[in-house]
Amino acid sequence: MRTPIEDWPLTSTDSSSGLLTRFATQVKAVDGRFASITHLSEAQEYMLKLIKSKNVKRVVSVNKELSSKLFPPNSPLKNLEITSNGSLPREEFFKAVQVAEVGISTVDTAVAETGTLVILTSDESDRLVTALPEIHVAIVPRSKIVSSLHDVEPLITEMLNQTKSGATVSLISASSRTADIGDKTILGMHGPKELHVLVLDEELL
Amino acid sequence: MDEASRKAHSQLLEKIALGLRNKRQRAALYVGTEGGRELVEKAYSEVADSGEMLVEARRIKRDAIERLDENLERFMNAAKSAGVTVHLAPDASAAVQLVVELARRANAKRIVKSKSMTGEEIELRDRLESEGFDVVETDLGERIVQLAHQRPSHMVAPAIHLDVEDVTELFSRTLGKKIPPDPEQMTAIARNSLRQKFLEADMGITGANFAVADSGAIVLVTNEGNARLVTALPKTNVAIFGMEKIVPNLADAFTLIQALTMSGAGRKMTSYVTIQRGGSNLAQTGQKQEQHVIIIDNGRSKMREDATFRQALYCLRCGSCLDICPTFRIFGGHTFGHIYTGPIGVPWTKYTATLDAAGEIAPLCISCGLCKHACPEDIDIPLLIARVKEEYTKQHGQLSINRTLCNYEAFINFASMTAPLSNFVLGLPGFRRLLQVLVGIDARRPFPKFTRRTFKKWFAEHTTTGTRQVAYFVDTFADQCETDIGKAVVGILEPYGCKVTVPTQMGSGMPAFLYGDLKQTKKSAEFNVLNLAKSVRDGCEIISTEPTATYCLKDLYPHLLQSSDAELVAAHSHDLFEYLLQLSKDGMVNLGVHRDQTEPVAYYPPCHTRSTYGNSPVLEVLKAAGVDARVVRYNTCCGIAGTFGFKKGREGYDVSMAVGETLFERLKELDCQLVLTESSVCKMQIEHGTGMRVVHPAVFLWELLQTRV
Repeated sequence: MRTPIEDWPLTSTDSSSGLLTRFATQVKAVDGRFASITHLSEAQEYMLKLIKSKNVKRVVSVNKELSSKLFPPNSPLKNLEITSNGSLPREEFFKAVQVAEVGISTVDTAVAETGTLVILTSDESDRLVTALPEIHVAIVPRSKIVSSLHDVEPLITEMLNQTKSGATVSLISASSRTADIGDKTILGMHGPKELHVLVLDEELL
Repeated sequence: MDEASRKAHSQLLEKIALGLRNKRQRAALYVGTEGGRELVEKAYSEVADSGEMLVEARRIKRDAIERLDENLERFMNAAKSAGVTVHLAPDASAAVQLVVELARRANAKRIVKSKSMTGEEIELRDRLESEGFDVVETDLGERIVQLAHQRPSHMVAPAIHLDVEDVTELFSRTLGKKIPPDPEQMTAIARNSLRQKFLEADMGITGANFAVADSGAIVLVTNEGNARLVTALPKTNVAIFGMEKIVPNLADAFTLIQALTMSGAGRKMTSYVTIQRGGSNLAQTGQKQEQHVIIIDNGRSKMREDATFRQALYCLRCGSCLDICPTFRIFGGHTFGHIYTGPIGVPWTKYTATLDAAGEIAPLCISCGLCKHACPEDIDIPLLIARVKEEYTKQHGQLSINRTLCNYEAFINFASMTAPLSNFVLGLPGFRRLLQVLVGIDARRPFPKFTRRTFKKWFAEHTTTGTRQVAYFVDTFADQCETDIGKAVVGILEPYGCKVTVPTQMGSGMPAFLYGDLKQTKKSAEFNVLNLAKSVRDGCEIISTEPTATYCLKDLYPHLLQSSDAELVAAHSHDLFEYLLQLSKDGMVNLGVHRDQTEPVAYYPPCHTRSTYGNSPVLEVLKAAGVDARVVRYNTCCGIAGTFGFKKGREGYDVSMAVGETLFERLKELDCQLVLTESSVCKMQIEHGTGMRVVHPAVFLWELLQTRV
């Protein structure tokens, strides 16, 4: 029997790490899916299950390196259309982001206390990968998790000021939601309905 | 009262009548505000250091407004260095004109907007539409009110007043086909239709939750993620915000974001926070986005110049004061609001629209004080509204019933002097009808029983010894109606070595405050502070058994008088039960060891107790004394609000009974024979609304102590 994605277990090294546990708790508390991964094969398996269970046809990724790691050449997903930013003319990638069911991104840092992903972008193509598809998968390097928002504030200020012209920092702490009709919470108002957070060892990336 | 304000007031009464009859709207508002309130209270109870966070959030806003000029300049320079074009707009029409020009220059046809109260304030959408632009709101609630040709009822939940059926009808009408009444399906429909609009938009307009001076970034907080798409897709972006939104740095913005999301959504963090510094490269073409910010004044400088109204600029737009407000919960923002709605909407309306517009809605504030307690920035909203009432009545005159009620003390003195005859006369139906027609006091509202043998008379003949000096601020009701309360105070305190005195005093002045007669409130405040400060200097602690009086002594008087004596009195004033708790903590009082209390009692903490203390000291004492006290789960006011519930019909009584409806039901559900509450007027309201027996906790405790084994 398959393990449901939601119940993906934390490995033993993880539970000893308070930061990771707090991060996981916070992500799950707001309907996020969380997995901590030590082998690249686990990440590939996670993606495989996700793609199959949601019957996903099209995936977009912020870069080719990331997508080639998550979907190896021998992947059984023969008909999956994988588009990476930078590998196509801009207009075509923009079209791909509009129709993709899954968007895969990296993060610059993540905050345990609030379950927040911190992503700096200066090209809207990258930001839209996390904003248009119904499912957002964020790959978080294990070493990039910090405790509180205030811990990342100097870094964000620096990131913003370093960019000569324009940049955007997105803090993503849950999937898109609304309660504007009858005070009932519905996920996926404009952005992703589902947020998947995959914590990976840095050397895997 | 002049003709113009008389007309405005009768229009308000008409809206009140409609609102009271609109059962579906009342149900929708109840679900939204009650749900919102419960989430927020849960969030604050769960986050351990939220108290410190609020202290910091208050410091930040006070400091940011103090140094606004400096912050504004720094923001403008930093934004310019990021390639942003910065515009300053002194008023609403200048701001609108700027947007219109930018839209024309960008050759825009379709404009997508994310929700912005500043946009509402300057009526931006209407103006752009009248210039021929196709403007689409993208926040679902805001889109709903746009399609319904309405204004937002609530700053966080614009469509809070509409139920699922209303939205279903609206969607069906808009789409020209029948839509099932299912929020999930309707949300999906909105997602798809709005997605198309985003992709076709030429210009995006946002507000800003915060603007960061040291990086020139604007911060947008949403759960839906609409602001992300508004800022990412169109080639031209405009952010419009008030100058009070500027904070010095991102660290400060983060603290305020936490305060905002906790108080606004009951969550540790919203789904999305977008920190945007300048324009990024467009996904479509790779070209740089054109980025503009428009910083508007529109009355804010004037607000800042006023020592009292300045604090309105600390508002984070979380909507807490709306969710907790007894009358907002019944009527919503279309009645209790101009453009800015609910309690904080009143001072904001005065400065961004007109004093008249603010004064016309101000009577819906019944001075319960709960909004001050709920406000993360601790803005004294009731005081600001009283100031609006004062200025408005100075210009337009006062309603005669309000004038009468400001002088309630004279009436009570007379009734007490002539008791028991007064009680007999006030009980005559014919006389009550006369009172209703001639004075405007609702005939259905029972009066308390007045007594000629007042507490003060009783106390004058009472001798007391003790070493601990306690000055009792009796207030009107305990003196001239229910003298058992004062006798219980003396009975409880004396065995603990307290020497009780009753210093010279008058009523608290709160009834005059309710109708904006601040001159009279000040008179009462000055008189009481003068005498009570003497008592404090003589070594007394001041105690009170009326929560409204405690609220005045500890909170209102110092704000109103700004004097060191008022501060002195505030620091030494206590609710009786808070004082007892203190004595018990010092080991002076043993509240425990009482006869087994088998009968459970219901307890209702009055607004002014909640507003002054947060958690009620009464409840702590009752628990310590082994009483099975069941607190009624209820988030707002009982509705009577001093003399407000005595006014006839829509003017007071009908509203007060509508507000109290839920409280009455929940008290009955507790299945207790007895209700305890320390406010004299809450007691009248609950007795009238439930038929249950209501007793002051001091009286209850005194009886309990006497039966101690």
